[in-house]
Amino acid sequence: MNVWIRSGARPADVPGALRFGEVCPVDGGCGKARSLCEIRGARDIESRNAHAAAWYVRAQVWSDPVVLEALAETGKVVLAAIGDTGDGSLDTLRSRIPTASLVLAVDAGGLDLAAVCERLAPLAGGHESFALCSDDGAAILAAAAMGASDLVVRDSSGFDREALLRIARARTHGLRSDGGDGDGASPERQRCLTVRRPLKAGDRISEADMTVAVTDYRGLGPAMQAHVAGLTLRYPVAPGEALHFGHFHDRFSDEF
Amino acid sequence: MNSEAVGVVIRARNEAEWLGSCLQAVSLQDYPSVEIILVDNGSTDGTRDVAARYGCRIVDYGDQPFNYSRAINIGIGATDAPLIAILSGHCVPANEHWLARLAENLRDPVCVAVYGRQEPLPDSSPYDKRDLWTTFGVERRVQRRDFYFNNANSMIRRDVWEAVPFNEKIHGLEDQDWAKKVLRAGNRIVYEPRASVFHHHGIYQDLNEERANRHVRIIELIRQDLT
Repeated sequence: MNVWIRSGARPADVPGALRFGEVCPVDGGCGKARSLCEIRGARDIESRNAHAAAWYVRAQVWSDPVVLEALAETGKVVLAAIGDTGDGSLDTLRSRIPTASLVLAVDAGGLDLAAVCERLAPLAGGHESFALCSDDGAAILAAAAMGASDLVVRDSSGFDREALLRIARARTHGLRSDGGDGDGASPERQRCLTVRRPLKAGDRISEADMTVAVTDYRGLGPAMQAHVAGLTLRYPVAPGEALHFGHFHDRFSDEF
Repeated sequence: MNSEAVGVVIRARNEAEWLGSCLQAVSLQDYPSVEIILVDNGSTDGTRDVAARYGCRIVDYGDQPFNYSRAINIGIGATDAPLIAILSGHCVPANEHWLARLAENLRDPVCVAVYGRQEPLPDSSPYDKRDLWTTFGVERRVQRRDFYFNNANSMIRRDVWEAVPFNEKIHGLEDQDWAKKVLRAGNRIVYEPRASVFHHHGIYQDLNEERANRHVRIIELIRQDLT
């Protein structure tokens, strides 16, 4: 689970459970962030806000296609607050931001816990990554328990890190007990890279060939998309099949 | 040294065909602190060049007759990392979470070792497919007495290895011999299926009868005091 901090120190990562990073609101709101007018039309966006690994985009902002295009070019995670937006606007968002980078976010500002859960529930039932932006400890734990892939918090003091870690580990492990010679826990499904069209051995895979789907635990996560783009396949891959490292020759193999 | 740092020890002799895919997968792990140690046993096929491309630390096995235990002991001795992953040079971790999924099991103080799932590739032989699928299931297990353990895809604690190094008096199945000893001390070993690798050649080397006979003799020795 990714926890994006808006300001202050970043806690140390917990391998396999929690990863912390800095998020930048696209339209300002934190000390180091550039304003929206600086983002608009900028072609050197990668050099801007280099301290942040993700963007947080309010619903009023991502309706601007110029901003979306600029954001997509950075290759960073885009946490897009969806508010009460209709499906038509969501389609625009999905068409502009690569699937592997896009996280649909609920902004909990002004909502009580029930309302937050009500907005998270349909996202939890879908196949896309989702996030909660909140400084309320109970809402953060609820989102984590519902399967949020990302959380956006003001700073590291706004949530119970140990409680969040317990939930993250419980999600990773699935149902298990520590007793007995076998605990019967089966590997879970997860969001993985797969392909849009049949590919054969010897094909060089591109970013456009890949998409994200909930498949099996062995597959490569969306963050691997940029790393495997350009590699040559050892084996054919069918649409819907999870991509894994065993599918690929290594990046230097063409030199042999 | 970071308390969760991992040294990945890979034994190799002429593994150029698969080593690049193996190292590519290891180098892309989402684990924060990883050192790769390749113990090379006289490779002549470019294995060392492949390892160098991925920044591996290459350690020579030396001139002595090859022994699996000695190769691992040399590799572990070359790193200070508190966690040691042991991986075959022709195994390819399935995804970027392989190391983290092994390591998370070792946070339990009574768990001293963990081994992961091994799966065949599409062009693995029917024998290898059968053996891998029937040996490595999908359910996680906590082993208290069962000494099955497999160093083609495993992780152990360095401090336990310092007390119980791999037995250089046996040739093969050093993993199960070691597992028997550490379990007898009240520890546990976990089978973690989510830490999966693809193992093209399988674990029983097709129908090599000489090798099978050697393994039977070792298992009979390990089983002697099994209660």
